Amino acid sequence: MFAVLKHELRLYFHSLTAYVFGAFLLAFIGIGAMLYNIQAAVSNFEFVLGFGSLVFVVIVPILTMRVIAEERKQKTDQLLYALPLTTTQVIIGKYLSLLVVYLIPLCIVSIYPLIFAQFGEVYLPTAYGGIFAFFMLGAALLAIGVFISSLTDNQGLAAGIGIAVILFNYYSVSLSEYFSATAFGSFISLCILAFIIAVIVRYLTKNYILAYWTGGVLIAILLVICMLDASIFEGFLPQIMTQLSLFERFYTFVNGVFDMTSIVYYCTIIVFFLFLSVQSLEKRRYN
Amino acid sequence: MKKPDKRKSFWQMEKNRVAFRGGSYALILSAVVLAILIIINILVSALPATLTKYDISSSKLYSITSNTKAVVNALEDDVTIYWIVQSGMEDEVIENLLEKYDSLSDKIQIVKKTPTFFPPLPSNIRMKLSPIIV
Repeated sequence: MFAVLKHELRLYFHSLTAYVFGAFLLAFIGIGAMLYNIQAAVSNFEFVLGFGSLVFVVIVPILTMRVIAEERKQKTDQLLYALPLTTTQVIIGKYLSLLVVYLIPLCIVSIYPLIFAQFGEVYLPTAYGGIFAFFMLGAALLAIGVFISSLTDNQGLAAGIGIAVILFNYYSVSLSEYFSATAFGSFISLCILAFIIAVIVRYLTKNYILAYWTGGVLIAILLVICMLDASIFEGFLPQIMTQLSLFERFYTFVNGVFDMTSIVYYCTIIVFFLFLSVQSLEKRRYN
Repeated sequence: MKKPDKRKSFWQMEKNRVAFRGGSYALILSAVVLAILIIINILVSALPATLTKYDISSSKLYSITSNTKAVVNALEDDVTIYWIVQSGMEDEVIENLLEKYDSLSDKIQIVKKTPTFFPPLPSNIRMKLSPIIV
């Protein structure tokens, strides 16, 4: 695991990736700090982080696009299978190296509130709570990026899908409120979800019958629930989106609530997507 | 001509069989992991708000003062607080405060009502509009 970690870190710091990532993050947060803390003379550093969270849409895919896609393209993933390491250790090593690259600019950022505190009243618990949540948010997005990178052998595609997914996550709550607060809208979108699950089953098992059954049963369950009590679906989609959205949970920290449930949620996202990337690598053994 | 075809189809079948076994194993494993993670999340969110949500705002916006705590703890009758709000439009500050009240005393119960969907409240409840100003 540490061998993979060391190797990956060397790779990041010998190429431009780590520097581009850090520069973008620092530049964006710097612009935010200038706008909010210096020009508008607001002493809340967490607003800067709320503003800066948009930068993840661009920089996380830049960092994660090559993690596994590049190995596949250069066929070096064969070496990974041959290493005396489990796939889990390889993925965790790669993920930890990403975290290190992410933590270095964040360490610099965490000095800012102290600097501002020299010139005015900065309430530090909110500022550092915000920075911690910012770290967790980024860590969760990095895990998602690793998974997306493990799906394809094309770096550009991985970056594109990553940007789309994170952007969708960023706007998901306002989008879902916009078009489907009605029961019918939620029902339709859940049916689409069932269909997608069926397609994934087909892709993984190469077995049509199982896929048809999975999709059929899921849609049948949805129909039965809809017949029995359509009111369950009322406002269901916005609710689910708010629950699932990574960014929405981050804003509760910005608003001044240190929410342990969100921290647990970020951890589960990290665990789940790293688990999925391990499965995605293992898939080559049988598929 | 026939023989290699047969062999090819045999290998194809064998490959499909392996894919089916590996794929269904991965799917079931993922489903189990997902279920465990969802259960963990539900358990954590079921914990009382005083344990999971800490107020880090500078003006203590989300905290209940000791005066209120004394009043709430001295309650003798059951109190039901109706929160009339359209789902999806909840104000975060009010939600947080109500959760705190809920976990503060067993006598307090919070009931959320959607004005458009649910039938009107019992007529013996006198509506008094008093928005919380923070």
